[in-house]
Amino acid sequence: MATLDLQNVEKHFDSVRVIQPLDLSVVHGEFVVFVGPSGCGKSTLLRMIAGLESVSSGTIRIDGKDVTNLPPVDRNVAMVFQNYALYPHMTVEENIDFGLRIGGMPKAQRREKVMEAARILKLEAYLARKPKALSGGQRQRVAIGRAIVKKPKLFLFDEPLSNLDAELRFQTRLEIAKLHQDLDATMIFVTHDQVEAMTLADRIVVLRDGRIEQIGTPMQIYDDPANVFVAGFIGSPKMNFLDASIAAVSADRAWVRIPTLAPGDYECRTLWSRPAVGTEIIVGVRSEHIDESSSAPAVPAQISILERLGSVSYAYVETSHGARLSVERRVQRGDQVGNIIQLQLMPERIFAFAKTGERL
Amino acid sequence: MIRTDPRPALLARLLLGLMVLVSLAPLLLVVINAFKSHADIVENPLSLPHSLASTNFKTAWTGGNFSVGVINSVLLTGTTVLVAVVFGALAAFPLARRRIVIWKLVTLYFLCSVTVPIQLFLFPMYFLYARLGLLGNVFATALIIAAINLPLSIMLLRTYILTIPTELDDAAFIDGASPWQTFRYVILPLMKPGCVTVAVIVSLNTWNEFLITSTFQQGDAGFTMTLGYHAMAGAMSPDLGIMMAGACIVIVPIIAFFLFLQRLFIDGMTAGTAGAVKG
Repeated sequence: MATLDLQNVEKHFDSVRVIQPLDLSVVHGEFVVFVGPSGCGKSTLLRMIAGLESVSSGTIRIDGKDVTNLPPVDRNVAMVFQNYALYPHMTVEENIDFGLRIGGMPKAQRREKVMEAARILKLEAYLARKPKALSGGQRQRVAIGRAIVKKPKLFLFDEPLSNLDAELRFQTRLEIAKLHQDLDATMIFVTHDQVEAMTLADRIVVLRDGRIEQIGTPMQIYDDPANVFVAGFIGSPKMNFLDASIAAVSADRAWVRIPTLAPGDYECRTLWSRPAVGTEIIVGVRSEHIDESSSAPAVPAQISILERLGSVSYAYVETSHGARLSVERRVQRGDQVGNIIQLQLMPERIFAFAKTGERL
Repeated sequence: MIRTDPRPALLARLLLGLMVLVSLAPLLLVVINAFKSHADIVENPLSLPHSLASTNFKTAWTGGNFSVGVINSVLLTGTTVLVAVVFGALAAFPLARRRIVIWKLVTLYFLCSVTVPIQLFLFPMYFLYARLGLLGNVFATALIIAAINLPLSIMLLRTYILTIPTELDDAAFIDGASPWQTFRYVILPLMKPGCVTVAVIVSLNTWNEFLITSTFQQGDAGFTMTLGYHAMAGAMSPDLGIMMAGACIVIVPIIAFFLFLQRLFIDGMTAGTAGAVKG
């Protein structure tokens, strides 16, 4: 069993606080992804868990044991770095073997473990090569091999796919997902790529400015974002945000007035609270939650840009009152730039946020 | 196809050729005249030798006491290089990797030790060495020359280590390596080109060193190649042929050494750590 608990963990460099006090519990076998924009502190947090970065205050526990002040080797963690960090003067075999050799394991046993890791990662044919004679994908597999050979309690990945091309990234992503299943290991994965986060994670931790914005399963985060930042960060194209006000409120829903769309009120059924009538808010709606419909209150909008991706197209439209929206188009193959289309927002998919960003 | 004007490239080659000639001409003159008699040199220093007789070399070898000098020079240079590279690398690693608050002060200290003239220390050092009975001891003298070369060695090696990605240190740390193991198994092997560069520079400095050696390596048994040549110049200065042959004997080993390490030296000046990280 390998669990991870962060309690009130905080980090500051001199006077700059890069990680606000935060709590996080990861259960055994869970795949947790830290996601956030550049500079949000996700890599620092990972390095703190690894033991490469000291903790200013708070406690880190692995399997219940306080490891806050222990070096990485005593935490029994393995880390895969963004730029692989392979030892260039060593062969693939020596690279994978290095940690075991340092740990003083007998040679025969080491060899067996290295071969096993090489077999899992299909690296047998490259064991005698130096890293510079490998492709980017192979190098990344060696880096992963170096991690799995130690059978760590916790795998830490620091943006391991960001140096790979699109095709290889997709493949390696599948390999990591499979590895997670096969090894039954607890993994923490840092990325700024929301697609990686959505596809790999059991749970996503969205970070901004060293603070956790939301923790949840990918679909929880997508379907029920806690604030404007999370709503805007997860999902592509980005969620549409429009200024609005509360026109009426009932027990479980509200009617919002969005002046830049069309006259009339739009029903919102996703409320977390009961905002007062007249409150100025921000309304969020994803592109796939805008349907074509002529029933009231329909919004006429003109297509200004059209992105065709094959299975789906995205129309960037402008309403006569000045709102700009991205709209997913699946079946409407005849769309042309300049066409006027009638749009309808799905009431169960309209999110209301306070002007300060929190979900209402 | 774009046609480029070949004239600038031609001019550049011509200039480079001229510079090579200017650099090599004195050396060539020394080699040519080493095979000529004094009278022939005085008559026409640019004429080619009549034969490739080794008489001048034999006389110079004995006159300069080079059989002793070559051993002392090799020992002195070897020890100096060893000390400068080993201690330079050991000092450069923490200086490159640790966050050192007084780094500017350390740099200033090194700069001072490079700029302050060695003559200031010469006499106190001489008396200290005399009192310790270390005069004429090549290994003890090598320590002084190594100390003079250390600041430059440390600065060069530190700069070299800075080109090695710190992720490698992190990876080694995660793998359970201590700072010493990280240095020994990861950083040091990658520093090899940098160490060769330092070794070449320090060995050139040491081989040609005169001031320290002439002060501390006194007596015939302590002579290095340069001291031997200097002594020979006093005794045999009228014979230019022998002087030229002596000069050849002094410079040939160091040129051979440089040519042997040339490829690694140039690697050291230009190397990165390809393959260590993304590529």
